[in-house]
Amino acid sequence: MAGLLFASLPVPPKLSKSSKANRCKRKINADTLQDVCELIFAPLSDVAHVGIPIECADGKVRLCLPILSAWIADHMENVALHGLKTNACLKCEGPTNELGTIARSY
Amino acid sequence: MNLAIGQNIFHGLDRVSASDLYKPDILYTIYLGLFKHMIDWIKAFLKKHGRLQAFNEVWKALPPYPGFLVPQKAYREVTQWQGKEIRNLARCILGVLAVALRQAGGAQAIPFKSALRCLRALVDFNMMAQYRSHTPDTIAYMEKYLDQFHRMKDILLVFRVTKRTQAKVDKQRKEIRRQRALMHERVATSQPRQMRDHDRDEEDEMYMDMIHGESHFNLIKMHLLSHFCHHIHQFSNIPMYSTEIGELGDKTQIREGWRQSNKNGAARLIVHSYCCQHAILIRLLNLQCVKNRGADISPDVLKHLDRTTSRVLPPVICWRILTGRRSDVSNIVDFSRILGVSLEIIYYELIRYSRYNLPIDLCLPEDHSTLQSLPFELLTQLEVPVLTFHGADVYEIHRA
Repeated sequence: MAGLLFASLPVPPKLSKSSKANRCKRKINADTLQDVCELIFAPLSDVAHVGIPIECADGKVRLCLPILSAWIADHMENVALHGLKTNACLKCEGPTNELGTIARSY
Repeated sequence: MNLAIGQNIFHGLDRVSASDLYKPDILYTIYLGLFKHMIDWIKAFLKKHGRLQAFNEVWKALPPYPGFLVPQKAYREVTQWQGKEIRNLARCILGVLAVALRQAGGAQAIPFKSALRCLRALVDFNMMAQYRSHTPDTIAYMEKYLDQFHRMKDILLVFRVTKRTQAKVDKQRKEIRRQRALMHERVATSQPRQMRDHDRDEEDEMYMDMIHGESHFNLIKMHLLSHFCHHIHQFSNIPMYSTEIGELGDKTQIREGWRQSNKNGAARLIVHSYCCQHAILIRLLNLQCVKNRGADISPDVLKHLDRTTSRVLPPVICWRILTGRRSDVSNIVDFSRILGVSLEIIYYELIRYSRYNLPIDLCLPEDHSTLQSLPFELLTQLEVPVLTFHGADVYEIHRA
């Protein structure tokens, strides 16, 4: 699999929830991360809407709508990016007290 | 709803569904999630039934096998369970547990059986999840294993008891005993033993009720497993999206850049240097492709290309040379020099072998000078006949 490094995201130090100043810092950190991601996705948003001609392997030029299709991260990173609570599922809206049971489709 | 206040960065994007961005991941969900818990539960289970010693003995006696790393330490001495260790553990845990739990007597037989079944379902699920291609059958198997795991996991519920629940249980038990003592004072019984047994049964019952009410398996990783099957339907196999790729990429993409930078505003430098290298590599590959098609390229570009093609090709990896091996053998002449066997004998044996054993189209040339220049690697083919699993006289040829 070919990988291309896009950006290295800032990783702020971990802060406790205790003091108000820390809470404020956490908020700033979260906002920074959101802004950085917005910056990265900025070129994508126009292109995904109107499309862009890209050369295909068979020699033709095709209109492509490149979109973000996967985000590979562990659970905590996903939680931070999606703005969820830690024990929330990323895919469905199942209640947290039924996580350990056989899943029904929500 | 389980939303924290804050926004989702993926919501501003066109044609992107935020919930589809999540990809199930074997490393973090199964290995570092469930298997890590499983290790603790099994440890507690074995302790409870007095089989920890047996388990450790089997664990230490595991023989080596290609692709399997023999555990160096006893089970309980392993303090750090990382991806590699857990992957190893997942391969052998079921067998080891089955051996450790054999010869179960009486009351132990049922819990042992369900613990094994529970673990087996999880291991099977993990194995199926690693498949690179799926059919409706394999997905149905995965669903079946998951279902079985959920049905059998109650046996391990005892080990999910938190300190708070335990405190509650203790408090309630104390209360019951106090009441009972009061009652006994009033009614003197003639059968103290029967009474005690009855009391103990009552206490156990209360304990189990309490645990079933308070303890739970509501871990997020337990729930994420249920999306695996659907994900395969939608986006094909799971290892494709493994986080292990990212972890491996970390070395070439980031640490190399960090090492070469002057550590001053490094983030920008790392991205810049990696992108430049990548762009140049792509450019060179493109030029090479154009050149191969016979297009007209100016001579100075060609000259540059010739100089750099060796760099474009992936670097030749020097595999570790095992002890007792040599690197300076390239053809049969070297071989005979090192073994101290004369060339004539080797030629004679080779020709004899090729005449009698090889099919006609694969026969070696019988000319000495041609034989002499054959690469040595041709001769390393070793064929070992191995009995097939159930066959009586059927051999499989294993090639080394």
